[in-house]
Amino acid sequence: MTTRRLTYQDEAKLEYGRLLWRNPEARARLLGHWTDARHPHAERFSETWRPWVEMILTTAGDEATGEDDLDSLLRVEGLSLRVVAKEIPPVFGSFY
Amino acid sequence: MPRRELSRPEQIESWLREWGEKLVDPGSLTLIGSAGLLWHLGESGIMAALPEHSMDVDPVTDDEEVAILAYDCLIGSEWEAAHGWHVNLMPKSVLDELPDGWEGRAGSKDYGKLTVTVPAPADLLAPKIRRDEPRDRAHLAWARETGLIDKGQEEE
Repeated sequence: MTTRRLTYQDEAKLEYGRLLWRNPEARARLLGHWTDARHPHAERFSETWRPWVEMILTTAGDEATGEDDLDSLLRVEGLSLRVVAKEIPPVFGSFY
Repeated sequence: MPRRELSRPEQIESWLREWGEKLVDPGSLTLIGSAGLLWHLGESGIMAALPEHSMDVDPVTDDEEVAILAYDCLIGSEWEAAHGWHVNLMPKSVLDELPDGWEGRAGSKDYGKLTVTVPAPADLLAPKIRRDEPRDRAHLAWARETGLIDKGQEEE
């Protein structure tokens, strides 16, 4: 399974990011945090990775699209599920 | 300032009660790691402190509301500042490290609307025994001393 190649840390970001993404308030809060100027990954996220991160978080729950299919889609773009999951910004409790 | 890391069963009990009161809808989590050992100790009525204090608890959940609560208790949060330790959500796959059949041996308890499942002490210790770091060995010795496990229950 593709996600098993992730570290537990990245797997948790993906798994729980997807869970929170379903909730509009939680999703808005995550996006606000990840684009906050205090977040060290804010520029990187906004300028490069946001569409891909949103794609893998949004794909959750669609049983027709398995992780391997999602990984294949990303590989067409020169990416992978592992690479994009690593780019899910962490959450810093001090200003979340 | 006194150290306030996680070391006592009542800290686990208090945290779970707090979340159980906050939940609007029924939710659940599975608690692993040393926090799970502390939970079992509390259930057995023994209030012994954990050696090599912990800085976090490791729950697993597939419940949205529980996950939202956990995100407010991550490292660096106000919650951590107040409690001295934080919540470190673990992915479901970490449960694959537990011995087969752990679900049938697990303990469970309801805290208000929160249902908590905790693998049996011997199952919680199995990954620690495999890792075999000094802290893991200290937790294993402590589990024996407190009677959480006896030698026959340990995974080879």
